[in-house]
Parts: sequence; structure tokens; C-alpha cells
Amino acid sequence: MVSIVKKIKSFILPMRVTGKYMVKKPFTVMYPREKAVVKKRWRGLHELAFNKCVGCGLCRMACPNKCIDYIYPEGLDPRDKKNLKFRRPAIDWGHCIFCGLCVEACPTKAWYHTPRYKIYATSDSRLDLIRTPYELAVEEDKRKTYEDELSKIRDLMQTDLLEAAVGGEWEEIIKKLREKWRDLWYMKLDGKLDEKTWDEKAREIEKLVLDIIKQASLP
Amino acid sequence: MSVEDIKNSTIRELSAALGADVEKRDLKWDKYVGINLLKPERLPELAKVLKKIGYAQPVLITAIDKPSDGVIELVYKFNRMDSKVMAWVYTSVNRDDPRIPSITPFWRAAFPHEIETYDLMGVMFDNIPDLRHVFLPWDWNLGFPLRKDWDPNEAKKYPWWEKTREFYDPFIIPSDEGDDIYYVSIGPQHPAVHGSFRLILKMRGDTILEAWPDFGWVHRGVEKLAESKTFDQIIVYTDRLCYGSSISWNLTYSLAAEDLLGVEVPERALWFRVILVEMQRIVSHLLWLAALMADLGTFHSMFLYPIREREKFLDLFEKASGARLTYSYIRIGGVGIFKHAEDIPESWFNDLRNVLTDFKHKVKEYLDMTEASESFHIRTENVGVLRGKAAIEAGATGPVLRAAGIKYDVRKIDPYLVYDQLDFEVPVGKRGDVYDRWWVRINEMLQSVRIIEQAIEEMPKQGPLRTKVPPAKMRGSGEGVGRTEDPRGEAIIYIVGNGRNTPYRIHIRSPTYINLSLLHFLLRRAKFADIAAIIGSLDPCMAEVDR
Amino acid sequence: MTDPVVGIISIILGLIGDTLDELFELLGLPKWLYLPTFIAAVTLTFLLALVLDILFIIWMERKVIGRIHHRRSITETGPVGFLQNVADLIKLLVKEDVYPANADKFMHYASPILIASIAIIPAVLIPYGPQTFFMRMSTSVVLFFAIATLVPGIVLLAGWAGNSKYSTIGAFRAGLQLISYEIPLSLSILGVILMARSLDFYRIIEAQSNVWFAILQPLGAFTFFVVSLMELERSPFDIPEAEGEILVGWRTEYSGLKFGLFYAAEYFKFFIASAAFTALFLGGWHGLFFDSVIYFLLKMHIVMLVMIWVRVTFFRPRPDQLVRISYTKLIPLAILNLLWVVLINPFVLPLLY
Ligand code: SF4
Ligand code: SF4
Repeated sequence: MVSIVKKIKSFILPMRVTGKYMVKKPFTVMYPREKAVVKKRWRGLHELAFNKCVGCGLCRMACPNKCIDYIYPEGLDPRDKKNLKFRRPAIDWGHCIFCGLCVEACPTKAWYHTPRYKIYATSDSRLDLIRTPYELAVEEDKRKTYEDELSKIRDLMQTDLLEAAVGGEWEEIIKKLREKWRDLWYMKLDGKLDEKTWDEKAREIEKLVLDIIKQASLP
Repeated sequence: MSVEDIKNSTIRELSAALGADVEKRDLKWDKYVGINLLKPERLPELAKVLKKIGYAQPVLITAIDKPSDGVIELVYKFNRMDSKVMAWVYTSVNRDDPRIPSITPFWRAAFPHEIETYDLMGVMFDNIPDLRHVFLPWDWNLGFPLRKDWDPNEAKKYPWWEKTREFYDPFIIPSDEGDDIYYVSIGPQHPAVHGSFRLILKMRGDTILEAWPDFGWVHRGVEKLAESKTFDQIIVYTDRLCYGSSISWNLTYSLAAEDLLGVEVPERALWFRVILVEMQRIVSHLLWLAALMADLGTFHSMFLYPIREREKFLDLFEKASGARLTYSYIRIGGVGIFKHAEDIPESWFNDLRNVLTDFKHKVKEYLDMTEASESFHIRTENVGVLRGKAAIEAGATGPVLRAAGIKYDVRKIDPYLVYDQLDFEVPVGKRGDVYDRWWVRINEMLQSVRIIEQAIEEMPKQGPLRTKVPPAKMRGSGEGVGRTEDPRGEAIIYIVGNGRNTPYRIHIRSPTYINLSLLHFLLRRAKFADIAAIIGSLDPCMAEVDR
Repeated sequence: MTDPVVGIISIILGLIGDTLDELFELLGLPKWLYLPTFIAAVTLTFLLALVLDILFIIWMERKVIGRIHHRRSITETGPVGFLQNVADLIKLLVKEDVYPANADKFMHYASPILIASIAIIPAVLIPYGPQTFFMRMSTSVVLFFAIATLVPGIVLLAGWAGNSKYSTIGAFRAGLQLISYEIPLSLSILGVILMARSLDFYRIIEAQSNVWFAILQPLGAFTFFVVSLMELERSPFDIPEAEGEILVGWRTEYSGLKFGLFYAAEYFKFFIASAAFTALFLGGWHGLFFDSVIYFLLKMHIVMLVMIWVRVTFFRPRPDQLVRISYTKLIPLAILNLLWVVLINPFVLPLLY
């Protein structure tokens, strides 16, 4: 008798479990429509507080996959020790494993994870997953960032060179040049300039600088 | 017998048998006994003595290449079932012609270790049956990767893309013979093999006459890679040893590295580590349960129920560490991932309590689906039997060994963290079949719940979770060992340092690798349909096997 | 009382007839063509209805299994995912036709067609309502199970033609399954035949006008249910195509439309097995206030629901255990049922018809 009861139970009990779930509300989330919520500490795509970063280089050293490298502002010579503090991390998310070691290493908390988790390459090339510091920078930081960046570039690339070379009498022209340079930068940042015109315009300025140098009869 | 007694008697017996060829070696641990064997040819005699005086398994065999001395140092570690004493036997062989007699002929558990050492370090074992490559391709002849002077560019010379049929045939499959004998190749891609490894089966009718497992399909060379990373960076590799139990591997590695570097861990972190590791045990066992049930039928309903519970634990892990599978959360010096998100909020523990309460109810449901159902019993009882002494002899550890009726759990025998202050039981099976392995693991999950509940209560509420180790301190020389009870068995990570900030050699003992090599025995005389149940019951994790 | 559905069916038939009339007049076709055309049109109409029902069954199965899995299952294509099966069908149709190098080409292509066409034939033997049936013959039960037994034979051929070890193992498992369920199957319907004193489905259903055979002989009903699960090769008895063991068994080498035909055959079999269970044990079209096709369809779909439910609940036995179950458990059960029928037959006579 006991065995018969056991036999019947062996049919009823499993059926009861599955039957229970047949009428229960599903556990799953309709993903693209319902957002998947990630937790606060989620180690997602990185972001860079551009102005906080001091270019110390610790994040690259910490990375086990060597997927961080530094990018220098345009026109700065990476071989010059003085320029080290202007470099910013660029990352290859194609190789990143989101381990968080780089974030842990950053002394100024300029480099951190966001809860964003979607990442995709639109072409066959993995280069799509590389992000430059400008793309990684925080949205609000961006404009200010470039102003800062701009002034640095201005200081280093032109003022140093020209003012040292030609003295005070060229002030007016240098001022105009700076303005032109800045407008160009802004236009590029807002995406109004394509590569070709940017190149053209940059060459124009280069020519102007050369002209000045020539007029001042410098070597 | 106390630890001292065992140590003394070991030395005594060995010197009685081998005379001046053995000498005592001072180790930095009191609980292990170190032995220098001066003549490697006499290793089998030494091993026989050790076996006689109660050492159970050669639990780890590894080799360290020392080009400066012109030798390869071999380290044999023998464990005991009744005590935490391990005998560590050191011996050196000539680097140019590394030869040592094998101990496999009388101690089967050494077999997987020995062929691994041959495979990656090129040590020749005399008298070993079937010495061949395990992780490297079967026709590899481009040197031995773990040797220090091996050039990694060498690997590029292997014609990966030209290999067609032969490449997939490390065993040349004989064509089917008469008398109904035929050969079936299972894997490397097959639903029953949980990852990628291959089984060659010799069958008659529906019965398996002989089975040969073949690993190495996802070999990544973690041990070699780790030699070029700093101690802190290696943690990400330990995550990827097995996605089912990454925190356990984090812990094993951290223990080994802390041992080597001499880092102290705060009291609170010890308790928190216990909670995390036991959660990981539950998660790992749930994943195993799901996979086994998927293989046995039920059209995936018993597959999805454990996965659902696992998801809740993963949420908790995510909340604490920021990742769902590769946590890198237990670190050298404690627990914690970022400086600015280091402590764990009280609400996390409340969530954990709720999840555990819910989980205990859910386990009852699993029992209704399996234990109560006769269809489960007929599939698992007396299938894949490995019992008692045979299991020790073959090298099994973890739930597989406990299902075989041996009460051997590193948490009890050689307590690490704070396991000696916790109250829990070690479930032990009777018959050693698939059903017992299932039973042991289910009960282990319940014991883990018990441990976590105690640990939550007793964990200090305040205090640091991690000691900061400055990079300058992250260099060490000597040896370090981490020995833990992984969800899959006894896990050991053995590190040798040479004063640099990278390890000189790191060896990982993967419990599944040893357990899976038991398939050769387990599958003999089994039915074809039992393959899925037997493989599933061993809880394979191929990433961990191949490393 | 007449079945209200019959009215609808006759309207449909009338419509077909009228359309054909007009068409023949319009095109001036010869008179002798009329009858074949009419038959073809009617058959097509009913096939269409059958395909629609099969689509519904597949949808129901996926949905129910999804719910039991505690997930949502198909939701995207069409309302509540109903059109997903159509999309899958289109996918199967446009797939590349793969054919293994060493396979037996003729059998490789013939077996899917054979299996799908043979699997559906028994459907015509079942009376769905008191006035809705294709044919009535005095031995329809025998013919029904004779045809149903043909299918595993073709499975054997199909697995053999795939010329791979997995599909061959699957095919032989199908053969093994056949020998293990055939005897309990015949024994369990014997009880019904004895009680109804007829080999005709129509008479058997009529006999249950007062009380279902499932109530009079529960053991027989249980045996028949289990056995039909075995015949359907569905989980828990999906031994010939056990996924975790031999991939998909005898279907391993078949893809695209060939797979689609196997898939269709599986659901034809599903349809027929549950229809047979309804007819033999659940009183067919007999219902509460009136007798109707609707009751038949309703009961049939409930049987299907239970079969799906069982599918996701139990573990799959091993092939050798299956044979043992059927020889040591099911056959004694069926014989016990026979004895029971012989015992109670005199007392239940007034209940029948
Ligand atoms: S998250 Fe890890 S892998 Fe990614 S950049 Fe940082 S350190 Fe490198
Ligand atoms: S992001 Fe942080 S770690 Fe990296 S360079 Fe900048 S300040 Fe240094």
C-alpha cells in the first residue's frame, strides 16, 4: 500500500510543481523594452573626467590586458617629458575585460565605470571599439575641456614659439591667429568640419605662422 | 595522531627505507612536511612508503624550470584523508634529459598530473602507460611552453589552419571492427560534454567497452601567461578559470599570494570571504544541477528553475562587486574592488537573508521534481559507480569523493579562513553513484546556507575589509600555497616567487581535470545513454580543466 | 439533437459547391471533371483547417512550455506570438538543402515525404462528431493502429539513410521503442473494444454516451496515455531523439524543409494520438447538453495540454529501462485492465449506448 501511495506521489508531486508555474507570472524581463537594471557598482563602459585626470599613467600600468594607451593633444610632442601631464587615456574596449583594475589604480578618480553596458562594432573591424579620450570625456566636461585643451595647445604651440621669437610687436597678429585657431577647434568639436576642410584650414594657419616667422626673418 | 607525530613518523619511515637519499627540508609551514629526494630514480620506493603509511593521493605534481641551475625541480605533494599534513617531496632532474620513474603504475591518481607535467614541461616519466600531450595538440613538437627559455613565437609556427582531419584525431580512430564493435566520437561539440572536450568510445551494442577522454580544446596557457603579470593582475585570470566558481578561485589565488607576500588580512574580510565563497558554492552547484537535469530530460524545466535561483545570487554578487560572473572581488589583502566602493552596506546582508530563505523553499521544489519522481531514481541509481578506496586511488576529490563515502573536506581537514569557528556538516554518500553525487551536492548547498547564516551573524560589523598592499610590497620570494575546497573539489594554487613583482612559476591544481580523467573508469560497462548523466554528475568545467 | 457545427460545415460545403458550379458554367468545363474537383476542393479546405489547428497546437505548446519554464516564450511575431510558427515555416522553406555526402540519396529525400503523408492518414478514420466524419467502417480501430505502426518503420529508414552514427543509433532506438510499446498499446485498447463490442470508432464513441471509458477502466486509460506518449517520441520518452545524448537522433542529418516535414509529422502524430485518446476513452463528441464536434476538439486539446505538461515534468528513461518498464509494468497493467473489464462487463451493460 505504501509503495502504491509512493508511486502515485511520484506522478503527482512533479506535476504539481510544473503546474504551479504554468499559471504563475513569468520571471523574465522583456529585455529591449523593459530596461535591464544594473547595480550601482556595475563595472560598465568607462568614462573620463577630463579635467581631473593628471596623466599619471597608472591606469595603463594596472591594466592586465594592455588595452589602455595615451593620446596627446594634437601638436604636442609625446617625447617631451613636459607634455606628460597633458596625455589622456584612450581605451580599446574590444580587449577590455572590465575588471576594474585601472579604475582602482586611478589616484584622482578621473577614470571610472558607468552603468552603461551596451557596446557594439558597426563594421568588421575591432577598431570601432577604440575610444579616444575626447569620446570618453563626460558630456559637460567636453566644451570646457576643449577650451582648456585649446589654451594649452595655444600656449605651447604658438605663444611659446612666436612670442619668444618675434617679441611684442606681433601681438595683434598673434591674437587674431589664436582666435582663428579656437574657432576652428569649436567647429570641429561641433562636427561642422570634415577632415578635409580641417586639414585645409590647419594648413592655412600653418602657412600664416610660417609667414610671420619669415617676415621676422627667423631661422 | 597529532600533526607532529605524523610528521616525525613520515621522516622516520622514509629514512629507514631510503637511507641517506632523503633528507628533511624545512618548510615555512608547520603543518606540511618537506622532504628532499636526492636520487630521483628512487621516487617509486619513496611513494610506496608514503602510500603505506597513510598518504592518500599525490594531490599535486608540478615542475619548476631552473635554467640557472640546469635542473627542473619536481614537487610532489601527497595529502592524507585523516589529517592536514601533506608531504612535499622535492627532487631535481637534469634539464637536458629530464627523466623520472612514474608512480602511476601503482598510484593511479598521479596519472593526470604526470602527463600534464610532461605536456607543458617536458619531463619524461618512465613506465607510464600512454604518455602523450593532453593540452597541446597531439602532434606538437615545438618545445615545452612552461620552460623558461621557450619562445612564445614558437607557437605561431604550428600550422593550425592547415590541419584538417588529422588535427581532430589525436587518437586515430580505428575503423569499426567485426563483432558489433564500433567507435563513436563524442564532442568536442556535443550537448553532453558541457564545454568542449572529446570522448572516444568503443562500444558493443549499447554498452561502452572503453572510453578515452581527450582534453585541451580550450587551453589558454594561464600558467604561462600569469608569469608575465604582476601579482595583482593575475586575479583576472583566476576569474576565468571557471565562470561557475570564479570567487572560489579568487580566494585560492589570494590565499597563495598572501602566503607568499606575507600579507595580513583583516578579521572582517575573513568572515566576508566565507560568505562569498559559500554563495559561490551554491551558485556553482545550482549551475551543475541545471546542467545535469537538462541532460536527463524534463525538457529543460528543471534546467531553468535552478538557473532562476542562481540569478538571484548573481544579483547579489553584482551589487557587491559590479560583475555577474568574473568578479575579481576577493583580492590580495582582503575583499573589495574599488577604493571608493569598498565597504558592504547592511542592506546587502538583508537581501542575502531573503534570498536564502527563498532558496530553502525552492530546494524543496527541486526535491519534489527529482527525489519524489521515480523517473529520476531509475536514471541515476547504480549508474557510474565509484566507491570507497577506489575513488581515493583514482584521485577523486570534492563531492565526487564524498559521494563515494569518504569524509574528506578541506574545510574540515585543513581549515582556512574561519571555517574552524563555524558549525556545519559534511554530507557523505554511500553508493558513489550519480544519485549520491546529486544528493551530496544538494546537501552541500543546504550546509552552505547554514554557514552563510552563521557567518552573517558573527561577522564583525565594523572594520576594514582590505589591507592596502603598496606596489613596492607586491614582490616576494619563496613559496606560497593556497589550498581550498572549491565547489568541484580540492583546489590548490602553488606559487614560487623570485623577488620580482611577477611570480616565477604558478601552478594551478584543477579538481575537475582530475575528476574528469576518472571517466575512463566510470564509463566502462555503462550504457550509451548514461554518458550524459555520468559526465554531468562530475560537474565538468572545461575552462578550468584546460586552463 | 443535431450538432450545430454540422450546419456550419454544410454551409461551407454548399459554398464550395456553388462556387464550383459557377466556375464550371463560366469556363464551360466538362461534367465528368466536377466530382474530382469537388473532392479536391473539400479536401483542401479541411487540410487548411487541420494546418491551422496544428499551428495553434504548436503555439500552445511553446507558450505552455514557456510558462512552465517560468518565462514568456514567443511574444513578438503577430498577436501573442501566434505568427511565429509561420515565420519559422518560412525560414525552414528558404533554408539551404544540405545532403550528407555518403547518404542514401533516394531514401534521404523520400523518407520525410513518406513520414509526413503516412502520419496524417489515420486522421480520416476518426469520427469527430455524430455527423462529421470522413468514413465509417467496421474495423476502423484496427486500420488506424496498423497505419500508425508504419511510422517507426520509416523512422528506421530515415535514420539509416542519414548515414551517421548518431542517426543510426537514434533509428535503432526508435525500433526498440516500437517493440516496447506495441504490445501494451494493443492490450490497452482491447479493453475498450471488449466493452464496446465493436472495432468501429463510431460505435465505441456511441457506447460512451452515458459514461466515459476513462472512468470505467482508468487503468486502461492510463496505460494507453503512457503508451501514446511513447509512440509520439516526445519527452519523457523522446529516446530516439534524446538531445543530451545523441543530438537529435535519427533527425540529425536532416535540415531545412526535410526537417520541417519531420516536424509536421510529429505534430500530425500528436494530433492523431490525442484524437484517439479522446475517441477511445473520453467519450468523443459526447458533452453536456448536446453532442458536438466542439466537445471533441475541446477534449482533444485538453489531452494535448496534459501531454505537454507531462513532457516538461519527467525524466527520460534509458532505452533498456524503457523496454523494462513496458514489459514489467505496462503489460501487466493492461492485462489487469482486461481482467477488470471482463469482471465488470455484465454490470456496466445498461450504462452503455
Ligand atoms: S577594466 Fe581592466 S581590462 Fe579594462 S582597461 Fe581597465 S584594467 Fe584594462
Ligand atoms: S585616468 Fe587616472 S590613472 Fe589614468 S592617467 Fe588619468 S589620473 Fe592617471
